[in-house]
Amino acid sequence: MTMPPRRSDTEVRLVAALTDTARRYLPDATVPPPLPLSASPDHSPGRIRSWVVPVLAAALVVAVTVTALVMTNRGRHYSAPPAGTGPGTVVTLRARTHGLSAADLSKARRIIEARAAGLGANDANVKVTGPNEITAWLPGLAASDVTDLGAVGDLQLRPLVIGAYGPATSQPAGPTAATGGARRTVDPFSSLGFPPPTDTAAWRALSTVQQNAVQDMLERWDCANTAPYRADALTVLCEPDGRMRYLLGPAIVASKDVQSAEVTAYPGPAAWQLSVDLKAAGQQRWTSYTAQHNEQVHPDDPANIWVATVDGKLVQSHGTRKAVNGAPAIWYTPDQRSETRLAANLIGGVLPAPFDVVSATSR
Amino acid sequence: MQAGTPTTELGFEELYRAHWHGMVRVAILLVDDIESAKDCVQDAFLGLYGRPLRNPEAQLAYLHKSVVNAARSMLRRRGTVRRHLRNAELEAVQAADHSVLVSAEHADLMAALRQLPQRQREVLVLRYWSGLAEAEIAAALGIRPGTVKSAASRALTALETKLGDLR
Repeated sequence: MTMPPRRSDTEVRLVAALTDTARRYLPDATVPPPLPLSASPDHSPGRIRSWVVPVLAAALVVAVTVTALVMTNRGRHYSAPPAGTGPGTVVTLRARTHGLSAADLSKARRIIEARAAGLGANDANVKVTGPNEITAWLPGLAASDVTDLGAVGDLQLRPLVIGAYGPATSQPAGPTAATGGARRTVDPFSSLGFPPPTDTAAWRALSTVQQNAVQDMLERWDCANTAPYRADALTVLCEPDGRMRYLLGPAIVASKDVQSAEVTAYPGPAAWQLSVDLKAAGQQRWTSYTAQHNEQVHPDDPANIWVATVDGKLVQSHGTRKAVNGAPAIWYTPDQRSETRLAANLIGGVLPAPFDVVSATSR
Repeated sequence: MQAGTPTTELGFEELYRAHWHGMVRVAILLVDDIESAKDCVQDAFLGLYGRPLRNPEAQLAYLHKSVVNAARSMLRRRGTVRRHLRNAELEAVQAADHSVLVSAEHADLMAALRQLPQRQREVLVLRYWSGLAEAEIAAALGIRPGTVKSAASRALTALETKLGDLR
C-alpha cells in the first residue's frame, strides 16, 4: 500500500482557498434551476411527439405570412440577416423613438455591430429589418449577453456639487430624456431666482440664504417626476431608494471622449473594474480636473467626489485621492459579465435612440 | 470533492441533481462569476442530454470536458473585449461597493490563481478542487498526462513565487 504524497504548504492553502471560494459563491443550499427541457423518458433525445411537427409548421407559415404582409405594407422590403451554423443568438431590437432617419438607423446598425464585436461576436451579421428595427445574428453569444445591447450607452463623469437627503419618492418609471423619452421641460432651477451652483466653489460663494434655498429645492426634489436630464448641463439624480439626491455639475468627460474601455481584474478581492481610455482632449480635461479636486489638495471635501452616470442613471460615486494622469476606473463589481456588457456599450459610439430587445433566441 | 465523486449509473435528472453543484463550483473557479458558471454548466448538461452515455465515469468525464470548454469560450469572449479595447492606467481610488466573495484569508492566493495562464489554472482546479487523476485531467483538457504533470508543477511554482512576493 502506498501513501499519498505529502502536500506542500502551497497545495494545502490552495485546496482550502478553492474550497472556501467555491462554497462562498455557491452555498450548499442552492437549488439547481430546472433545465430548459424535460428529461422524462417520453422526451428522450431523438423522439419527437407527433403533434410537434404540424404545430411548428403551422406557426412557421403564420410567421412567414405575417412578416411578408407587414413588409409589403411598409412599401419597403427588408430581410433578416442569415444565421450561421454554430451556436449563437438572433436578437431583434426596436427603437423606442419612432421615425428615425435612414442615417440614424445606419449609424445604429454600425454601433450594434461594434458592440457585438466587443462582446466577442466578430462575425456578427447586423441588418436594418424595419423602419425602427435592427436584427442581428450574433455567433457565439447567449441571449443573456445581449440584454443591454440596445442601451444608448451615454457615459458621463460629473462632479458632485451637493447632496441632500429627503423624503422617499419613487424613481421615474418612464424613460429619461437622455434615452429619448418625453419628460417635463420646466426648469426647476429657475425658481431659485439666482444661477444654480455648478461646482463646489460656486456653492461656497452663495449666501447662507441661497445655500438653504438650493438645499430645500433638493430635499423637495421629486425623483419620480422631475429630472431634467440635459447632457451638458446641471442635473439632479436620485439614488434608487428615492431618498438621496445629488446635484451634479456639467460632465467633465462624456462618451464622445471615450477612446476605449476595458474590464480588468481588481487586484485583491474578487472584483472587476471597468477602465476607460480617453481621447486626448478628454484626458486633458480629466487630468486637469483631478489635479484640482483631490484629497491631497482639499482633504475631506465633497469637491473630490465625482459620479459616473450611464444613460442618465447613477452608476457609482468615487472619491479622488490624488491627481490622475491616466484614465478613470469607473465601475467595480463582482460580476464580470455586466461589466463586459457595459464596456462593449461604450465602444462604437452613442446610439441615436434607445433600442429595446424585442426578441432574443439562442440555439 | 463533489465533482469527482464516483457514481453508479444515473438517469439524466439524477445526474443533474447529483452533479450540478459540483460542476458549477468547478466553473466558478475557472470564470469567477456565478452567472457565467451556471451558464457553462447548463450548456454542458444540455450537451450531455443528447448523448447516449451509459458509463457514469464517461458522463462525468464528458461534463468536466464540456464545462472546461464552455469556460474557455466564456473567457475567449472576454479576451476579445480586452483585445478590442485598449489598456487603461488604473486610477488610485477605492472601490465604492466591493462585494467580497473571497475571504481575506484566501484573497492573495485566489488573485495569484487568476493571474496564471488558463491551462495551468484549469489543471490546478481540476486537480485540487475536483480531485481528478492526471489521466482524467488530461482527458478533460485534451492534453497528454505528462503535460498535466508539468503544467501543475509550473503552476504551483508560479503560485509560490507570487505569494512569496506578497510577503
